[in-house]
Amino acid sequence: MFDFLLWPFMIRAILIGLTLALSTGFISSFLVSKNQSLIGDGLAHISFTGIIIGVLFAQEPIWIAIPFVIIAAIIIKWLMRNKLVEGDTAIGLVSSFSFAIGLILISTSSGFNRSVESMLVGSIFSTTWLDIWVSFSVLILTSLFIITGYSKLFSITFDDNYAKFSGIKIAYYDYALAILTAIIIVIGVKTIGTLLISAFIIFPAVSSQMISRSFKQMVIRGLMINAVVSILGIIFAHLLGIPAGSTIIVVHGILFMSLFGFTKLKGRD
Amino acid sequence: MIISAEHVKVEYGNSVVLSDIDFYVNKGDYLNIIGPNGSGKTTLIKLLTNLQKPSQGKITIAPVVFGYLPQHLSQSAQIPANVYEVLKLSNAKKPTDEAIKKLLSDMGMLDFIYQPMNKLSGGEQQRVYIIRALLSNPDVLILDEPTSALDPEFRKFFYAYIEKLNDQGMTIIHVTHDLSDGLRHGSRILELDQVVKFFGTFEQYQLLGHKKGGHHHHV
Repeated sequence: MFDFLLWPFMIRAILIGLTLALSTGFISSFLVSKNQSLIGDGLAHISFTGIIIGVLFAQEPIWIAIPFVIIAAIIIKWLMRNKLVEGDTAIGLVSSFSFAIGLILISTSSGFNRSVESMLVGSIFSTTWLDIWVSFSVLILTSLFIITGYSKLFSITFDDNYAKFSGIKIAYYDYALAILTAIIIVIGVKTIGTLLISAFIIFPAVSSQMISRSFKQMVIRGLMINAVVSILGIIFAHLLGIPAGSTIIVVHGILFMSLFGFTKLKGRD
Repeated sequence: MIISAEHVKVEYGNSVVLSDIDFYVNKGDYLNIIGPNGSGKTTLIKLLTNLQKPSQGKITIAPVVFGYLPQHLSQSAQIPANVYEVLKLSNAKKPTDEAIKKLLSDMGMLDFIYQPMNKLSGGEQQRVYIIRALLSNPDVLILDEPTSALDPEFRKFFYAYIEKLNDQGMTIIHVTHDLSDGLRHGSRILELDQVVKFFGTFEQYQLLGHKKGGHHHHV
């Protein structure tokens, strides 16, 4: 009955879902704890335009989209760090501006051969092996960055003033995390979709936070939650014939609400 | 000399926070920095901890290890980081578990070692940050309003502990708006109100007619 799990498109979908879930799971706890959940959403809107430019001018859109989104991420971070505009505002400025450009490009280019809808909600079952390799490489890069920089990233996340006092180069970690997020988001937009990928960054941290008694636990449980939920979501989506990205997020939502109810009930004793 | 400031001025935009600041700190000193709210105490601490550069003037700091207890704890309230993680990971030189447990037990906090920080009371959190400052084995310990969240009993214990460290040669820089704390424990006083109002010994300060605990400012 589970034969479909061995179908090539299913294997590709699960591989991309898993690598993406682990990459986003790794950065989730750090971004959400720093109140930067929305950077994922902003970068997703920017990826939308990046991919459109890629489709119009290159064979493989991600090679255009990745540098495009990295530059946007650096600009957002730069605006935030120099306090030119407040955090969320910087994300809103850059992302809505580039999203608008993307929409204009679509409406003016006759050669645009993709449906906008597929870009908004993604299409995990049409994942290519190239997507998987890029996603896998990004996962390796992300895990190396998080594992080797863990104590410094923890210090910055927990108390950035003290981290600065301790001589940690906050700017380096800040930009590096934003650049990694940018690459992860581009792959996520292709597969999960522009509108939903940021949930991959938000849900693991908020769910695992409720059941963790240390930061390390929060990171590890966030990774596990994201991986399990993604695979379940892909399987349900296939069985029910509904979009995979949306299904994954709905499973995340149900898990979050259950944990929330559970911890509230437990807290009452 | 561990620290010397010459004609230091700090301004944010058009407002001058500190101007013409001169003072020094010698090894083993116990310096109390006092002054009302808005007098520039916190800015001065930022200068000493490298979180801020002077707009004018020069501040020279010897290459010694600093320990720092910030006044405003900027920890993220949401994340479930526990006491052990905060103490183990916050200092550049990772302290040993032994050192962590020793200080936790000195401060009566050993039972809290695996408790998430956001489940602790303000006073308990403050103790963890005191331990964090001490774990770097500092030559100079900067305490910015250290007792603001502490109960009176622990406060007494805390000052006795700090005085003992000072006796052993640790330089202490203690910021307070509560003059009774400042004067009781002072070897030197630096009174600020954007400029240096007074810089000298506790005895000289008393001769000027200042009384211990004479005036309280509460935030």
